[in-house]
Amino acid sequence: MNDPGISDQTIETVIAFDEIAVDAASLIQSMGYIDSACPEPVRLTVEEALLEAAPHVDIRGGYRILPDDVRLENSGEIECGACRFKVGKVIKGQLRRARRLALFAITIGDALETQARDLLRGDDPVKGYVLDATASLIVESAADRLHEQLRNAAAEWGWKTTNRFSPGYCGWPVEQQHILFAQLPAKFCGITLSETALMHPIKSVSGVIGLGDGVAYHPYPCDFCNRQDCYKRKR
Amino acid sequence: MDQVLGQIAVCVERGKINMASPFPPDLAGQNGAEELTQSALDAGLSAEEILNQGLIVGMQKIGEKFRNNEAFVPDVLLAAKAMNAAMKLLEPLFKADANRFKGTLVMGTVAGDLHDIGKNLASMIIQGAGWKVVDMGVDVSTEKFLDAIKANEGCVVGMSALLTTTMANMEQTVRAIKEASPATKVIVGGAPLSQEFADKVGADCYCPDPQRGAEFLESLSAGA
Ligand code: B12
Repeated sequence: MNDPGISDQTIETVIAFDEIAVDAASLIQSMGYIDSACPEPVRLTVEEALLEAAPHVDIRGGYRILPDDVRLENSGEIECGACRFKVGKVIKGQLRRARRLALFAITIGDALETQARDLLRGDDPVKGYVLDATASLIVESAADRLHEQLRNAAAEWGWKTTNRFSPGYCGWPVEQQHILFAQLPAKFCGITLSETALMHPIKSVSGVIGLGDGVAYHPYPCDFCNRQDCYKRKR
Repeated sequence: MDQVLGQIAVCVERGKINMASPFPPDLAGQNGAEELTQSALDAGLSAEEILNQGLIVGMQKIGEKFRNNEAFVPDVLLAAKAMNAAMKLLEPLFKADANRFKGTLVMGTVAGDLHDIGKNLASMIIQGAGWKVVDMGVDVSTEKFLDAIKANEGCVVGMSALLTTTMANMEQTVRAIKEASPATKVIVGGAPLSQEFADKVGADCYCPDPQRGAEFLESLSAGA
């Protein structure tokens, strides 16, 4: 196994709207309509929202690959350079063979969110809600795209990536956003973190991805996490 | 129950605003919440009867479906739209707030939190159940809640938090309210909350969904 000796690197990129995959079907599904039919006015609003969203979306994301080795503690903590993440057993298991950790954050800005909020509390709640759901889906999809970029970069060194894991999910306390953001440049991609660990803009996602020659991406993450109360499981 | 009231309830539940609205397709060309409310008034029913036995019943039905995952957020919003259209006709007829509202709910997302989709939705459903909702917005400090309690005598307080970090602020605020105004009832909701948490902080009701909040409030007004 040759170690590409990945050094500390921080990458910030802009992702174009047409690089991400959001379609009406997944948006409708994200609002809960799976077996039951989506009402016509909602379907129309979804199509409208997808057409109108693009100019209000400003996707900026990036990651930092920490230069340090990843160390697993029996307590369920994971140590990498100055970071000591209490990720819990589920995520620890997935990061087991990681040689490096990438910390990432991505946002779509707050224009769409603001528009959604105004409509929801004003003239057109349905449109407001659909736009909000659109924004959530866009940022998730943008995070997938960023993940893919990292995966491609890693492939060049013969490495693979794990799934992405976010503070606040799978038993990892959301408070640890502070540890994560402390390792990223200030206002990384325009994102700030409040005292209560809330990212601003709201439509942002952060987390870690493991890198290495022995790691694997898991297409069905619910198989390794058995949290019954997770909303993603219900869907 | 008067037949027209039942029809009004169905129109609200299904989001049928008026005759002109093409949705839902099977009701196309038929009277909607607006026309039916007008004919109920013309037939001599009071605004209170139409509100309580028509509109509110429809909102309650959609609220229950939402709780059972048979309806989703947009369905509730469509129903609220139909209810609001009919309310425009009734609004001028209520002589006093006391006839119009069962009580007042002061509602807000707690300090440090900006999530408001859930709070807004719960506000609409509770409004649809006949309550006056005073929306304080997001990032609402304890002081602001306490001021609102003073300004709205006898109100109930509703709070929302979406992060475990802001649940800590919720705890502080509930405790402060219970200290300053022990008789004030507090209801709480938001994805990461639990019954256990609500009990621990001294809230009067944990609301996994807005319907639970509406039911709790109903029990208060019934007991009053
Ligand atoms: C969509 C979503 C997002 C979107 C946007 C969120 C938004 N709303 O703008 C995106 C993708 C951007 C996102 C990002 C993140 N998210 Co998020 N997100 C969600 C999700 C899936 C849905 C939230 C939502 O809009 N729900 C719809 C509304 C209608 O539901 P609701 O707010 O719960 O309200 C309902 C009830 O609770 C109730 N209710 C609520 N309040 C009240 C009050 C009263 C009085 C009453 C009667 C009823 C009531 O009525 C409502 C209707 O039923 C939740 C999971 C979930 N199940 O909720 C996670 C969730 C809130 N997110 C979570 C996390 C961790 C994050 C991130 C920190 C992840 C990360 N590291 O990147 C970031 C943080 C973003 C930030 N700015 O800091 C966690 C929070 C857990 C925690 N420990 O604190 C959750 C709970 C997911 C989980 N792990 O289970 N998120």
